[in-house]
Amino acid sequence: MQSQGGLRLARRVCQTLSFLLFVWLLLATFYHGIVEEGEAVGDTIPYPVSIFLNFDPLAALATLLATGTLYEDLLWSLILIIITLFMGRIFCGSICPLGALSQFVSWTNPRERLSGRIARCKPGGHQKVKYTLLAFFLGAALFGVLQIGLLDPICLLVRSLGLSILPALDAALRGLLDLAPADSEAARTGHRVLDDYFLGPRAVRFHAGWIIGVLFLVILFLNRLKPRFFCRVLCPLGALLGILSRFSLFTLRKDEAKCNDCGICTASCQGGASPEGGSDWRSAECVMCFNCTAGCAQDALGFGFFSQVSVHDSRTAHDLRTAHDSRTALSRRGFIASALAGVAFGPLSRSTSGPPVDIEPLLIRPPGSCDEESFLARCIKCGQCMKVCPNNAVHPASFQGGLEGVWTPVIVPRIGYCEPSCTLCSQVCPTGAIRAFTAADKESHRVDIGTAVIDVSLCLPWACGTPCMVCEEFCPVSPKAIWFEKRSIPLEDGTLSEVLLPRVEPERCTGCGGCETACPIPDRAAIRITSCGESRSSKNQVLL
Amino acid sequence: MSKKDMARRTFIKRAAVATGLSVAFSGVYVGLRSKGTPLDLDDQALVTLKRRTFTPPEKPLFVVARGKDPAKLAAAALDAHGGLGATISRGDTVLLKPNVGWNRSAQCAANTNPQIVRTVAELCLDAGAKKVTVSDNSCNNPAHCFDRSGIRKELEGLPVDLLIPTERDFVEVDVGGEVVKKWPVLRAYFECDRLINLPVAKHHSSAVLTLGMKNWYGILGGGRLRGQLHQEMAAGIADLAQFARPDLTLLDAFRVIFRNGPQGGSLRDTKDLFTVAVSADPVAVDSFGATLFGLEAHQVPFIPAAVDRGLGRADFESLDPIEVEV
Repeated sequence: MQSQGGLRLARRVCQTLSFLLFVWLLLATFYHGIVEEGEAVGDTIPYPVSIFLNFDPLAALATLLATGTLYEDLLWSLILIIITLFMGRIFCGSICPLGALSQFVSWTNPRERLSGRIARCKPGGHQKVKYTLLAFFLGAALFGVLQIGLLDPICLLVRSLGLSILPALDAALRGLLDLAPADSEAARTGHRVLDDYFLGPRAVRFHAGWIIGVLFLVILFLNRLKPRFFCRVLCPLGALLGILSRFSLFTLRKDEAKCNDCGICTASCQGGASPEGGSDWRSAECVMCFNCTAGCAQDALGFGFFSQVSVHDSRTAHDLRTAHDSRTALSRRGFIASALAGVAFGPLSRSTSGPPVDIEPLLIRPPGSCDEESFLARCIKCGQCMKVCPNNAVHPASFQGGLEGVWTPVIVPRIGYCEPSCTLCSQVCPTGAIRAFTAADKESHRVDIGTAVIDVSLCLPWACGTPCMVCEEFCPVSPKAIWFEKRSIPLEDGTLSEVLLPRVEPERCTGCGGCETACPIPDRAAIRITSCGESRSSKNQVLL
Repeated sequence: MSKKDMARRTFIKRAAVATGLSVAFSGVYVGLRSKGTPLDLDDQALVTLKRRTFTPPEKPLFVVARGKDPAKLAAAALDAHGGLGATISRGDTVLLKPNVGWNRSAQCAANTNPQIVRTVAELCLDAGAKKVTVSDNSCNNPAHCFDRSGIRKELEGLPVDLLIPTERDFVEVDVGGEVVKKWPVLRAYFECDRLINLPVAKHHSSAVLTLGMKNWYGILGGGRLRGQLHQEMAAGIADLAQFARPDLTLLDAFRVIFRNGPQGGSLRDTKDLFTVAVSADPVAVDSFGATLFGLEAHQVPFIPAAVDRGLGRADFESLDPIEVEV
């Protein structure tokens, strides 16, 4: 056997390119201009920004279980399933951007003695956890409760980078630029570069985004405890691909005669897959990093198709597999128990008052969203709709949507309104939780998201007789959904102030929230959007 | 060296370091001591920026042009006004201020006609302007406004600086008005030699109409706080007109929104008037604009307010308007 340094190099190149592609597509998940052809307004994103999620078999399988159908865009993931069936977890080693990041963080660990590294890298029971999580999530999905997005590596990375890490980086870079005088050429150019090529001119910030960021940093840090801790222990996608890879034809061959038990392969193994001689290779745990084959000085290891997995002398193949698998693979009984726990999660989360059982006024979903039940069965919490929103209107929910709804998208109109000509969130939703719609659908009330209501105790003309008309000015529908009633409001000194009082005509209101965003009261807007009247729900309506 | 010596030396060294640090800490502490923050808001000294000023001549020219091609119309109106060469000197930096307030397509007339903006920008360059900046602080998402209004596309290929402002493009100054006092103003305003106002005439639900002087809201920053100016609309507009002092105003009334303003949104809200007006007297232009909507100048509250401040005359007829047909 010859040393396979070439495979490792190829993996490294692939990994780096894939990570860069991922980040570039994430940055391109953005407004790219608008074209008008006749009556139609189009704002199509010119790049396939959802491609990593389209290829995600876990998103496909879980939404399939939750909804009973496979959303068309997720058909791509079949390619990854077939690749894994034949080649094992090539995706984990060479494509997965979070895998790459995890491996990078593990690599930054200070060098320690070989014996210590071997001890840390050895397979163990902790590797079962990911199968438990997978079973739990799939069990929950079977009853319409979709939670894989919490840990699916692509969802996790899109959400964490898009909603927390990149905005923080933007703020940090701008903070650095602000050290230079404001009108200096350097500061101006720097800010322009960030405006044009990073996150845009608007300083985006997301509801409780710091929680997402801190959890992400914790997950990254865990990778210093063991190589690719996330992939070994937590990743449900890795677990799924691991199960699929049992029948892989691309396997590790060991030449027991050449092995001198030096342990270098074990110390560099990313997945805890027992590459060393004298033990059985664990195909489900191997992330195909090719560190073992590249590092073996004895040329005792090699990957290849149809290679016979050699077995250590004294025991039979069957005995060995059972013995090893019981340490890192979940037993059938364990899998079923975890899945049942997942099944129980649904009723538990819905045995509480509030959404999704009760209607929640602040649960304003993006336009085109499915009705709440099928929305929850489709949304994988990836956050792409939030990243793409040009007005920073879409935010990760904390508990507005109940326990299940954590990090699902919710519009916060005080921060940003839903731009009437914009369709971007529907373009980037990978699972059809936000259905495709056009600007014309918005105008014709097919995708209303709520209704504006006036708080007369705060509204300047209503409460103080002071003129103000900003909400009416911002109302984008024609004729406007906000109209004025001319009325005399008594003032303290006994005189009357003749003012125009804004009033809402609910039938014309789309719930876009332009009024709430613009209301000049700095803290709490005097006109606010409530979810009532949203097109997606037949129950959350007040008008007959 | 004996052990005892070492101990003494160590003692002296450590004592010296401790004394030095004590002195240093004391110095820093005493030097930076303060009584805390006062109760009143920190009324920091505002920057005073130099800016151009302009007073219209005793009897400025007044041109009204009518015609069905917006670009030719603007060119003919400026030509009849004596050309931009009369306003712009070679090497000037010019700021053009169209109304790009809303995410509406050009045909809806909620923003200044893009061909008029392009024509004026071209004529500025022809007149020898060193730099032409086009800017407005939109109400809707600015990228959408500049794209959908067609203004970004029309200016493509011209050596014109399209400035879609971010909060960093504003600088807090004392505007010095009755109601507009301390406010962030577009930095480019302070950097220009010549200022040309390119408003579009529209119905406006609280100002009655939006014309030239109302257009200066667009050089203000302040996010949603800008909306607070609607509490004192007439005085606020007069304050801004007094502050801005444009060298020239070209009013776009090619197509106007006559109801549902200032956003409109439907062709049913618009009317074609095929008209532009040009003058160095901003009040006269707005008074003429009012007549296009069948109103007298005094029915638009900010016009009398501006007359009271001596910013121009409402009686545009006295300027002997030059009428042009193209």
